[in-house]
Amino acid sequence: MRKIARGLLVVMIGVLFAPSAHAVIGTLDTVPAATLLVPYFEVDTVNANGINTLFSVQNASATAVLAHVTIWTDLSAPVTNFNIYLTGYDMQTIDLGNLIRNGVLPQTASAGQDPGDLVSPKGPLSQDINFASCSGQLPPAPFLPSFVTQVKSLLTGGPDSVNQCGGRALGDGIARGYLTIDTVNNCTQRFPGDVGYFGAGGTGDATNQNVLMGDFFYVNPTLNLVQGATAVHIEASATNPETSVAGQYTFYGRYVNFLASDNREPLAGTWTTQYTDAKTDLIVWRDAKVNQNRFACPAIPGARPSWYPLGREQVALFDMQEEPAVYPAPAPGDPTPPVNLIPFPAAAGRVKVGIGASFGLQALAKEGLLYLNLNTTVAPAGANPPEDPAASQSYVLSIRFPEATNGPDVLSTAVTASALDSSTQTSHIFLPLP
Amino acid sequence: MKKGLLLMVIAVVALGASVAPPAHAVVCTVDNVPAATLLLPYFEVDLANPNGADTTFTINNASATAVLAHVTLWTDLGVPTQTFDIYLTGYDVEKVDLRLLFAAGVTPRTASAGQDPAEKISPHGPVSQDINFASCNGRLPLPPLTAAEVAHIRAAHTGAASPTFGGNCSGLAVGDNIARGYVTIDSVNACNPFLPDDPLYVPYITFQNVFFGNFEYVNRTLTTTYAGALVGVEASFSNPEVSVPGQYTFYGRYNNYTATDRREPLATQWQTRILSNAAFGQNTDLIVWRDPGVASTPFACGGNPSWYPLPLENLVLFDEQEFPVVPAPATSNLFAAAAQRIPASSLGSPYASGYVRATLSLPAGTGSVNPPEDVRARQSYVFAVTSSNGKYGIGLNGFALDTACAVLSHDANQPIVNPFMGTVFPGDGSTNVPVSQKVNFSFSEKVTITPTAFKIECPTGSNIPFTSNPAGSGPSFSFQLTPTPSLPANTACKATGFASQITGTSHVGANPPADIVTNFTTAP
Repeated sequence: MRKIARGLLVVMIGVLFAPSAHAVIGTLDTVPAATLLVPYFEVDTVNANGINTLFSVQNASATAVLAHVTIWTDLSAPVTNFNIYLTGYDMQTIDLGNLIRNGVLPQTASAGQDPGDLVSPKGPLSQDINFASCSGQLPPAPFLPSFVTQVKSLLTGGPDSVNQCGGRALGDGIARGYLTIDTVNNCTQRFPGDVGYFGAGGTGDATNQNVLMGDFFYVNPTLNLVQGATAVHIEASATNPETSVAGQYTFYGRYVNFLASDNREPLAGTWTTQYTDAKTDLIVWRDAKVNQNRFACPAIPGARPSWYPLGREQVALFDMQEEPAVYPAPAPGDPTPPVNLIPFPAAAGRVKVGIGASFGLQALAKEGLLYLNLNTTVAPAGANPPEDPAASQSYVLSIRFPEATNGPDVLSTAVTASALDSSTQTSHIFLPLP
Repeated sequence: MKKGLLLMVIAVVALGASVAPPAHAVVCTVDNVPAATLLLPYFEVDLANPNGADTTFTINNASATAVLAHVTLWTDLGVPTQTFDIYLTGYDVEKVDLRLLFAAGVTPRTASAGQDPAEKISPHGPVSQDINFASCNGRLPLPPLTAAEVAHIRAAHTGAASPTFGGNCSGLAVGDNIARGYVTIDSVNACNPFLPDDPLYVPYITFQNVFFGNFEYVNRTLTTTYAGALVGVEASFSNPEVSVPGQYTFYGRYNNYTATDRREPLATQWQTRILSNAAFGQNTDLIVWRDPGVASTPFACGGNPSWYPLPLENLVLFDEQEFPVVPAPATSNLFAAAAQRIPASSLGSPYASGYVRATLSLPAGTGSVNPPEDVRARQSYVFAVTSSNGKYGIGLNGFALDTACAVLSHDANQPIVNPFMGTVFPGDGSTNVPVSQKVNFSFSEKVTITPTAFKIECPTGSNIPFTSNPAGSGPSFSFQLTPTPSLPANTACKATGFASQITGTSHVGANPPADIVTNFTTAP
């Protein structure tokens, strides 16, 4: 009798093995994807009630999958990675604060490491299989204290054990960076930049299963602030020419010599969003277009890493009467330009928008529209991506504080900026501004 | 003068370069890019409390070209009530506060060059086009709504009778004095008084993918705010998905599915998280917009539109261990209206947190004949808002799992819990089970049982008496059996739920596919 029930279940799961959504390449839609990008995170490494970031990973399909999480610094150097096993329809929420401060990793395990289903239980519609490669890795042990120290140091711009750095040292004890989460076929310990991680058609560690969904939250208990947004969903296709022909711009192109073997769609290069003086923060992720590893300490704009800071084609601001202004660029050759003339220098960051020199992006009016053409050439990247060396993918999220910005009850929201192009076909729109 | 002319020529050339739509249109996916139509999927305005629920939205013009936006208010049952035009110079933005509209009839003041030669109403910047729409003479700048018009929208959007509708009703009468509905914003080529369900509207609609915008739900009394991007509905003149008669398009129900609107439909299958944790005061509400598939017209008060309530094809909730629950029959009245805000707690899940997966097309057998492409397909949009202790609101888009351009085959590629499923704890093969262990049978929907539906044997063949919580026949999602007395030590036990004596309430009359059996051994 039980065999019959199991048989029925297998048939039902079999029906569900197909990817759960159609892949539309070349636009940023919130659909199940092969890679998720959490474009920026912040974790207070000192104060557990300070700023924190949580994110979730969900499996949209009945098929069990492995998700490979990579933590990157704000200058795009990989710091560490780990795997999450998801049964069909599973979800995991990860507290980055607990991970970075205490080294606590999400506890999951595939059938071989969890025969009693005590770690990763599953529902009757969910596949639960064994990934033999995960034996000895899942469920993961916490990071060793020495490694926790190193992770915290790297994400706050400090050195690792061999005195190499990975990020900016802003001196506030806040760990910063971004996350990528890829579907993989084994419990790999490789980074996306390592040989073998990608192979055309999903033949490397990474697969092309468009099944992941996710979101993230910025939480600050001290300031009574929470904002949430969906992660950036990056679909894969091994057949679409935009993501399978060598020379095309793909999301991980910088790690595969722009051969498109990652098969993942790129993001956009030009964005528009509203701003309000002192009530808008921009979360901006950018592609350095080079395979960046750790570098001699410290990070210095114009010196190291070689691509830092990133330029832009045009940043413009409109006021509410559509009076435009091009955001000024640093004077050529100026060795120490004002910081806010290069508002988005890093691979990931938060920039406050407002009137006055103290803001990372100086507004010219109380309210208006931002036009962010963040395409740029990057000298160390050479003529890459071959499709369009001036193209540079990015992502922009706007955090808003529509009411008071102080007091015990601060209202805040997060809204994705509107994409004006796709890096599959970069527009290079220059506004004809005076 | 010549210099002025030269500057004008340069400006025109520059504008010409920017006249093309600023973004490439990728039809048949819900993406946040400039579009020809924007959808505010739901609004609410507390008509009694100025610090209560309010909704604001912005309309941005992403191009240098001046455009006209045709705004339409719809009730939560899909009846259009009011329309007005907004003129936007290039790169213009206009904010609309629905409280001001509903409370005092305040309309956004804009005017094209012909109605505003001195540019006192709609000024423009040097790279923004400002042209004359002669059709707007006498219409722009908008006057405030008349007292009768304000009374009309207040009545229509609270489910009351409106003289404008001949004393008929057009929305749900919830009785809380909160105006509800949704808003569409279309690019048009002339000021006009027509509603999108009027055949006379067809010549006015354009295919300029230039609008983007945001919306905010603000409640100062509850100290919550949620924001999202307006749903961008792109148009394409050439893509067969939105230009061939018979295809499902966004406004198909108003043009007999001839695809004259050229607008992409949304999706039909969605997934979104539910966070309801009493310890943290967390609650999730689902904002759900749905296409009834037919045009709605005012109806006699006390009645409903012919399509109401709108059934759904499939709805499954998962807990965080992926156990599925079908909370109610597919024909139930969950998400029955065209626009609604539904507390997740009302979905009937036994679990505080998890996620909901909803296919908001029609179940089989409803007799629907449109859209011709797929008569059961019904586009929709899902947005989830979560707050904690009534504060710290978060708004998240639902995850679209398909597109209404090509609905994944109905009843496939989705979690089908049919017939429903059961599980039992302790699990099959468990050892060292405490003698005080209770046996728990759980089901993916509420079930009713006969008095002999469950049996505990220790060892096999030796029945163990027990009490059940809940007692009686249910309906319940779970039954917890407490052996009386405790289970014997170091014994092979067996617990059985007999399929033939367990009956579902969502899949009415159905039984589990097989007996639910567990064999376990108690501790010494």
